[in-house]
Amino acid sequence: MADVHAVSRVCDKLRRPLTTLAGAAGFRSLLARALTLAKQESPVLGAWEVKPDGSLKGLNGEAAQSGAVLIAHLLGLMITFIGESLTLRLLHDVWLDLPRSEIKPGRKESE
Amino acid sequence: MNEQSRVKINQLPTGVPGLDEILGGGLPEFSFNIIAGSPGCGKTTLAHQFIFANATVERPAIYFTVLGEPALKMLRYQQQFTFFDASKLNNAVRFVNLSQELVDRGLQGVLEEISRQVEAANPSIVVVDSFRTVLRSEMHNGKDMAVQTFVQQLALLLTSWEATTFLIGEYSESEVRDNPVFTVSDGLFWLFQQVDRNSVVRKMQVMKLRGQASVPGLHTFRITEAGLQAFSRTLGLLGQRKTARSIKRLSMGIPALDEMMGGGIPEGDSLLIAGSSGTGKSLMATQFLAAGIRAGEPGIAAVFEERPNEYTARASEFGLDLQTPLADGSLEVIYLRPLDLSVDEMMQEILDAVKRTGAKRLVIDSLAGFEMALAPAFRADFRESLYRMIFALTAIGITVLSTLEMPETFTELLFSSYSISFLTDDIIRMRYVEIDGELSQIMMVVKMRRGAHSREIRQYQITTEGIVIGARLKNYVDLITGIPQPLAVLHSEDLLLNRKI
Repeated sequence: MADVHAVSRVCDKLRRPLTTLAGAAGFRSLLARALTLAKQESPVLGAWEVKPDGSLKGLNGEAAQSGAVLIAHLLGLMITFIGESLTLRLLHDVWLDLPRSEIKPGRKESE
Repeated sequence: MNEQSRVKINQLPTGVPGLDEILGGGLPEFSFNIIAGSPGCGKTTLAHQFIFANATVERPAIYFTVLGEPALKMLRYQQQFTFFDASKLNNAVRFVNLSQELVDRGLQGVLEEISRQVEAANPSIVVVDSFRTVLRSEMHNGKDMAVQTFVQQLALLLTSWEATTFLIGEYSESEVRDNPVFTVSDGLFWLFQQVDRNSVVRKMQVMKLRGQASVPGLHTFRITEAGLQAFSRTLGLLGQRKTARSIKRLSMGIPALDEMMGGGIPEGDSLLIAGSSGTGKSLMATQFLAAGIRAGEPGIAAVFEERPNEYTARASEFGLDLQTPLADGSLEVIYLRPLDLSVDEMMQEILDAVKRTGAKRLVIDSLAGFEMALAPAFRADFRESLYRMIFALTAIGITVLSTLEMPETFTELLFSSYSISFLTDDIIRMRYVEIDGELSQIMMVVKMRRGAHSREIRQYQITTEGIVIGARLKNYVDLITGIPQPLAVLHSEDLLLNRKI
């Protein structure tokens, strides 16, 4: 079960490679879109916001459990844009010991 | 400077089929290059092909994106190409976005970030896409250095760090003059998209390449799922024709015709068969190919008016088995009707088929069909292109037979509607004539560049055995007009006139 800090750490870890790839504005747009999608699924995330630098604010403990939904949507967006293979490659650069079978996106690439 | 003391410039493969040949062997290592052209002409794809062909984990490629196509979208589209190797991402091929540096600190910030990345990664290749947006940005106004200083420092940095560099930009040709970017660059590659009626053709030009001789002019290229493929104007076939002391003669598959041609067609010649519809041009071409197969000489038929199976089926109606050589690979039938073909692509198809089959004989049936298959933009240069193609093919010893449909007139004898007879070594003319109230067919060998030939006008018939050539028509005059006069009639008129006189 994700806590607020874990969600924040994951987003921060993803921010570096994604900012390198897509620029700060690119990463912020992606995270903002993921948060919008996550809020539709988990209204408890209503207070969460993406700051101009791409970090999260307004994280509250009650919504922490839904933080995983945000991460899932962020990864889902990456898969939508660049495909599962490249997304996994980026994630492996961040989490070197991540098993390849660990990522099971809910959204198909074609969606 | 002698050979030993001269620095050797390594050439890198571009990863684009045909382009190395155009560049004179490959891209000079450590060169500072610009890929220019309008949107959608293939600049980014060309750069990607190059980096995926050359980048390694030890000497990676850094692809800097600026205020152009978002990197995520670029990756989304570029991975559709077969050259895209996902396993190279983030190790051998790294993408870095510089938008923020440009917005925050202008050119100085961009230069510093590129320096930092290059010093950290030790790349062998650096791409800046789009470089134009870096220079065009007004964000750096008043903040830092001049464009010229920036370009020079960037070139100095990347050359010092032994990186082969590509700057990608949307430039127009009018901007070439007095532009510091073009002055500093070692290589300038311009990609064009030309629209002509309903077709679009892609062409590239190496406008500048320091250190080596490239093939001048505009070269056609195509973008497929494999990326760019370029077609050199010369296809590297500028060699001289083989000049064997004793010219080998190849049989046309029609003994009487071989006789008329002085023993057959000289190997490596280009022969034009001209005649109106139904005169048997295609059949003669098929008999020529079949004779080659029988003699152990593989062949290629480039057909534009019927499909390969139709072509072999029609041959079998005349007792010619082309299906077996087609199956065993000693015959290839190339069928192309894309309507936006270039002669260079056709040449590439033929050369590939020559490599596969070891072909000695080539039939182009017909030139009119070939011209129709070309994009309108290329039709204007058809004669010149045909000249290059025939010259290149005969130079490597291929004997080329082309058919040409001629409008039939009954007042004169045309040899070619394209004025291309000068392109061919030999010409055979087939036509209809009216004799004794019947439509008959005659043929003549009009021209044989490399030897004596018969001057006879011979009647012929198309039978189930193929073309059967008959005797010389001795008792007529004006045969070549199509409406001959019997000599007997003329004699009697003469006699009549003489009596009156």
